[in-house]
Amino acid sequence: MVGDHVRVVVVEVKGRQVRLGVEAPGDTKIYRGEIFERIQEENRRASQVPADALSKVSSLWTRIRSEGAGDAG
Amino acid sequence: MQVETTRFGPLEFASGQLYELTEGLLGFPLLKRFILIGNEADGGPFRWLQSLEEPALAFVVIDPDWLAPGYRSELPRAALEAAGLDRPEEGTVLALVTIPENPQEMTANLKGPLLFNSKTRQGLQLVLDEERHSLRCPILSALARR
Repeated sequence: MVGDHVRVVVVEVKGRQVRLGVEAPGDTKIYRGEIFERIQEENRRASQVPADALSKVSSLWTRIRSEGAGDAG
Repeated sequence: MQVETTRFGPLEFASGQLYELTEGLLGFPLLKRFILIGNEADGGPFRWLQSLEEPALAFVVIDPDWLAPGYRSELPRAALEAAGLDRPEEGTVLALVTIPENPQEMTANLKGPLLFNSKTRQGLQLVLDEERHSLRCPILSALARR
């Protein structure tokens, strides 16, 4: 048990693999820790925006549009 | 209203530009209040999300539908409910953009988008643990495909 409402159960043992199941109330958010950490790390990377990003991104966009591929939107 | 920012200097904004992540950004629980700044100069898909708590912090963001058509309409039911939405069209979805040294290699995080209720302007960062959504979706090639 994790707290009063969350239960971790072994669903299946197959050779060296174990499948775990998590039983929890419907409004509980359950994620693999790994995905959570990867999004946190990507947030950190996204927060490091180069000083000249705006002009660079703008010019890249202008180029894509002038190449005729991005006229939607 | 006005806020002092590192990147834009003093910035005037309207209440309609305010967005709040009620639980903060993942890994940055204290970053809750932002203003969304358009980039009308070039009519492009990129916008800025300026933190109100941290003057130096401004993310580049993009609507994921630019990169993965149908992205918003395919958000899981539970995600909509978490933002108090009945229908995906009632929400505003933004993907955080990562810009490396070579900006041509910039990517968007489609696994952890921000979803806001367009009416209340409150929302959260989702965790979409699905293979098809990339943590680092290459932006330029996706835009060129449009």
